[in-house]
Amino acid sequence: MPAPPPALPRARRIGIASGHAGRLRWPRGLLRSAGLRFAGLYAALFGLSALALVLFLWWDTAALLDRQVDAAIRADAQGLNERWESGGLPALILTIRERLAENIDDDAIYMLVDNTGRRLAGNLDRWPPGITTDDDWYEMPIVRDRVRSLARVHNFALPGGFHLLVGRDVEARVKLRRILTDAMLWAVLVVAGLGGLGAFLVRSVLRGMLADISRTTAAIGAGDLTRRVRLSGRGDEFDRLAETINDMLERISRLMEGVRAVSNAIAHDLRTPITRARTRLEDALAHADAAADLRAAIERAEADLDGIVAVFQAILRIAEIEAGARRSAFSPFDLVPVLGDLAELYGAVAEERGLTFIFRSPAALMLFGDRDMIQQAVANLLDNALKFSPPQGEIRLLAESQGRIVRITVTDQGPGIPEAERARVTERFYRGESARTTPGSGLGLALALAVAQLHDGTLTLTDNAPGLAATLNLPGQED
Amino acid sequence: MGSILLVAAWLAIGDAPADDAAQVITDTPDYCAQLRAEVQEEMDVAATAKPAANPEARAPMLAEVDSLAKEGGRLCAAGKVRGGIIRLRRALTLMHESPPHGGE
Ligand SMILES: Nc1ncnc2c1ncn2[C@@H]1O[C@H](COP(=O)(O)OP(=O)(O)OP(=O)(O)O)[C@@H](O)[C@H]1O
Ligand SMILES: [Mg+2]
Repeated sequence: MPAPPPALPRARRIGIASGHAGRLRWPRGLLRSAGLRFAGLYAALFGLSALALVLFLWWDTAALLDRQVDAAIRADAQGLNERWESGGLPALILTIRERLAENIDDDAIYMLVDNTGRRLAGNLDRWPPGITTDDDWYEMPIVRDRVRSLARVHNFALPGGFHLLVGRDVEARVKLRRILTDAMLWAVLVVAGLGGLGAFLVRSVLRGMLADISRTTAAIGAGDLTRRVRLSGRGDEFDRLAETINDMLERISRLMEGVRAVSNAIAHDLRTPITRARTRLEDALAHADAAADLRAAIERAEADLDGIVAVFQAILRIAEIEAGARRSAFSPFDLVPVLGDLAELYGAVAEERGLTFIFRSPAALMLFGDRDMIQQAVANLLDNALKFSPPQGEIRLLAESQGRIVRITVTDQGPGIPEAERARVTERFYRGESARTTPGSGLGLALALAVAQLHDGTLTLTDNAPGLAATLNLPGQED
Repeated sequence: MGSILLVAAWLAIGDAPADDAAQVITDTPDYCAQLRAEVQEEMDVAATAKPAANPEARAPMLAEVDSLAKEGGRLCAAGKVRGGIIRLRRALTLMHESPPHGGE
């Protein structure tokens, strides 16, 4: 059995990880936390601005110090030059000694050497290495009393091979650098601390806010469509997200409900006519002897099948309306001529059956919607009224506008719909007890309701005492 | 974060040791002794010279120079060389600011 590969020594592993900061092995959950990423971004921005500030301070203050030091060195050198010109080398040496003796600020640097490099005056133990170019500025390390410091010097070439260094100890700049470095390190610590704290806070806040959404969606994913996201009531982005999700869930469950109802209805209500058609054909096959009998049976079956097709079309139409797909066909139109046509058509039928038909409407009623759909809905209401009217009954078709609402009411004097049944008659395929003897499939009111809802309106059924009053309430067109 | 540390390291570079750096020799006990002798010499000269136009004004100055010089010498002896040197320099500056013959 092969031995497992030996684990890397711990120290080495850490060394590799810190060498490639990008590949650090964080706990997976931490890296995936959006809160941590936000906090990291925030900390990085904060760190960058702290860095920019420190660098700006550094360049600004260091440059100011440099300018002051340069001016002092130039003035100093000017004075020494005058002494050199008036008194020669001895005067220069004496002046350098004097200036050193009176240098209360304790920052002056002088060095005068002859052409062999021998020191004639000054306070450096030797000519500093690296200072080679005449008349140039240098920055060099020096040691004072065993403490390192920084000096800024100018190298002057004098006639006769003499060289003079005039400079200043710029320890202030070293101190400034140290202060800024400290500040920066502290800033790094603070950024890291605040960033960590911020990451933790942002993460837990985000978690808390998203927890309910993810719980709900998980439950729905598991099949529980009744769950909804809880609103915090603050009206913030998360509440709006929750509202959107809830609306979406509402719509999904409505559609699901619709699909379920339709398939149930098809299963229950279309089985009967299909079975009947089949029985008739079987019967004819078994018993019909003459060709005429067969033909009659086939014709009856054909009529049955036509009815089934019509029902399918109605179902599909309702489904189409409920999906809201027809909204693109909306346009403004005048309702009165539409109702006029219907009144003419149904008025003739009513007259034939000995019923009274009354049509009343204003001169014009503007609507915004689907003209054919609304015509179909009103036709369904009129169809019911004719179907359920007793002999000599009276049917009314009334249209009026009340405020911004347009109302189309159809009344009859038939049996009406009992209070308890009114909510159910608009369901697909529902047919009342009284309607068992009349033809129909129970889709008329369902379609009328779907049309009303498509137009943001309602369908109300009220008692006409006797009979039924069915009203379509549709929002009129704004002008 | 890495870049911040880099810059911090860069800012701190000035503190790295460099053995070939030139030494300042006016921070040494020798130089302190030299300055002390110079001050003493000038004080002696001032004491023996004939008092000039305003001896009353020079007397307190000389007293202060004397005390500065003594303190400087004491600090140097105690090992606080830079502090001692600064006091001696101040003493010298003070003497030179008011020349014995009021010749300004
Ligand atoms: N004017 C009315 N008077 C009495 N009952 C009615 C009236 N209109 C509808 N109903 C009741 O509501 C049920 C549903 O009506 P709906 O128009 O949806 O179906 P239907 O008329 O039976 O069939 P379809 O309209 O599809 O031919 C009817 O079966 C009937 O019981
Ligand atoms: Mg009907």
